[in-house]
Amino acid sequence: MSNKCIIKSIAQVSCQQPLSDEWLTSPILYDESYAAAIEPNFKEFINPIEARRLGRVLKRALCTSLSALRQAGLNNPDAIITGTGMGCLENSEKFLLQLAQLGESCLKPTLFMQSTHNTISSLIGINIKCHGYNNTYSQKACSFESALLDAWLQLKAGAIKSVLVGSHDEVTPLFAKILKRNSPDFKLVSETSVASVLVAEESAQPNQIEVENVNILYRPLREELIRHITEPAVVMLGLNGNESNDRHYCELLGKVSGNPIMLHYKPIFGDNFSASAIGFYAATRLLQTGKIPEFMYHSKPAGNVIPSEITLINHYEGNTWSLIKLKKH
Amino acid sequence: MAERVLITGYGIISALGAGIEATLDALKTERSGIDCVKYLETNHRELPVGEVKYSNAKLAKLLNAKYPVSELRTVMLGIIAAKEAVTSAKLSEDDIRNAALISGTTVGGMDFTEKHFNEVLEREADTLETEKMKYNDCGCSTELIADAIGKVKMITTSSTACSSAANAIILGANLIKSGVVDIAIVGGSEALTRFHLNGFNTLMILDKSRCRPFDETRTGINLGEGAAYLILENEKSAHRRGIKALAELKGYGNACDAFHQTASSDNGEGAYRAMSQALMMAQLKPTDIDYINAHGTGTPNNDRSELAAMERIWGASLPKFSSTKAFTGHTTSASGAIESVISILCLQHKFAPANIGWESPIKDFAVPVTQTSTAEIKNIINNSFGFGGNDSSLIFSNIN
Repeated sequence: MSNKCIIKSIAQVSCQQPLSDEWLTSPILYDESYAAAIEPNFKEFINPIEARRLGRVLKRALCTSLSALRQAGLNNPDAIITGTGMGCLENSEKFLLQLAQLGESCLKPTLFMQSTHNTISSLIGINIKCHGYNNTYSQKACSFESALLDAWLQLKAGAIKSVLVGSHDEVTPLFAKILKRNSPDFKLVSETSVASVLVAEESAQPNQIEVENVNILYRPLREELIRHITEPAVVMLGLNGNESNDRHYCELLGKVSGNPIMLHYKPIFGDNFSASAIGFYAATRLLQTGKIPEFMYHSKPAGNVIPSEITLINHYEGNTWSLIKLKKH
Repeated sequence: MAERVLITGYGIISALGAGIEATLDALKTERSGIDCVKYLETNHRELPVGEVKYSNAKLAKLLNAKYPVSELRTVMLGIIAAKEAVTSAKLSEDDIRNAALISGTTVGGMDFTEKHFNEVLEREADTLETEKMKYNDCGCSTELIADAIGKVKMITTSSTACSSAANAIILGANLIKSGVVDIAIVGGSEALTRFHLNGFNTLMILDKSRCRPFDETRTGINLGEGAAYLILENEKSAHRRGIKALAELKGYGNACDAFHQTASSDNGEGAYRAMSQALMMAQLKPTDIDYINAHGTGTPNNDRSELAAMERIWGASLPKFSSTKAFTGHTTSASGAIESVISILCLQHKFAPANIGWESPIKDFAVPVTQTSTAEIKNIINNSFGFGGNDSSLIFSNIN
């Protein structure tokens, strides 16, 4: 477990400008409760004939993955590990709809073929002809962290040298309604696609961002969570403006001494089962630029903050918690 | 990564029955669990399936389960198998508190969702009966299984279609080797649904007779359902608890065929890589393998591709091999765990299970085990291959 896990590149498609860091200076603000992702120019990454066959989440996943690989100057990583809370939701929903309307005859195979959760990770594997380790995790709001934990363990252990880790979720109008009603926790529902190349290095170079630790805890005691927060803490929380969601963070941080600096990202990127991946992306950018935009602060301290470490904390309905510690060298 | 990964407990439920004893008996007496549809609400009565022979009501009664668990077949099957595994490993509450639960599923709560999807569609948005859609996702089933077995340290869910459980086992082993946990409860659970029965049917890969893996006349899969879990544990913890290991997980490999979403490559590239990696990690030669529990779904494409991959490793002298899917049906996401339990039973009781239903060899390819027979078995490879070419192989070995 001696290698360091370094973030080599990262790309996003969300309800902010796609494949861009424009949100840092001019974020798009939404009044609605549901914001679909802004589509990038797919032609740059996918040939139009292939694109026509692919559902939205697949196109986005391919796009962010290929973008992250290009930035990293890597054609073929040792592994592809993907998180997705709902998988190819649109296709699953359409297949369910056909089953409901047409019954059990006259169904077409295409929707089913692209309905399993691992369709995303396999598609990337097939597209870049990557025969390496390929896995998919689906654990509600902790899907990205599950993929990241798998990647982190294997990089640290030296089983792999490079990995494409991502998390991708699409939200259909029906699912947005269901989510809003079942989980009022989700205030601005949106869509997320994030892909990142991580590499194993014996030692970190100046300015590199390291994933120092990844933890997933199920129904933990607050004390167990606090153990993972180093002071003085800069924490990026899954706060989304909804009291039933946010109170868990407030209770937890209330027990951390030394006035932790609390940041948030869901007010501008929205929430879905892959949202924590965009938190990971945003935290990476804040560490790289050394600047924190005003709108990222949940609690603004006096004076200027130049973060060198950020701990990302996320939970789903107070049950499954995740902590990711990022460090700038 | 020198830490050994021991198996100190197991639990299973499938078409062969509930529990280790029923499974062993069926395997030894060559009794298949595949039959006509009894419980799944489907018009496809012509398709044989490997159903668990309990209605949801009976499962709920067995578990004393309340809503929503009483309506979620994947969860109930999972709880039954996971509880048997926990009991068999004699895990205490404290042991469980420091353990991970890694479960594989793709169906999740789809059986419940599809029963109520019409109600959701028929209602206006503001009166949507959305509560019933809440249990659809994969991760939800793992949470509910965790809640039934005790307070675990962490959970997650792997979802790689038919190799989900095998990949859950691999993550569990990596967590143990890295020292994140001493004990991992790993496996998978999958209930039959109209969704995937019809999905596989559209691909025209379901056999209307009992499936015949590795037979020249094979035409496809019989879908099955079930759940199985293993208790993985490091040596130190097993020693401290004074528990005897059942077997060792000596090696594993995961590779991507990177060929097609629902078909395997002709030369079985992904399967070849997965098996080769597993052998390398286990530091075993191909000739050390005494039996292969093949993925062997019974589709023309899978079996030919898997045989091609096997021949790339073993040449013309393949070890004993068979598919046990004519016993259990293809239990999709659970199959990696169900067949891991079967493999461990083969090690413990020294036998190689028959590839029941097999009659005629595939031209130019090897012949599987035709009769359940006693055999000295030290090392077994268990293959699980999923859609998208998510191929994984596990090597189980006798303790010594």
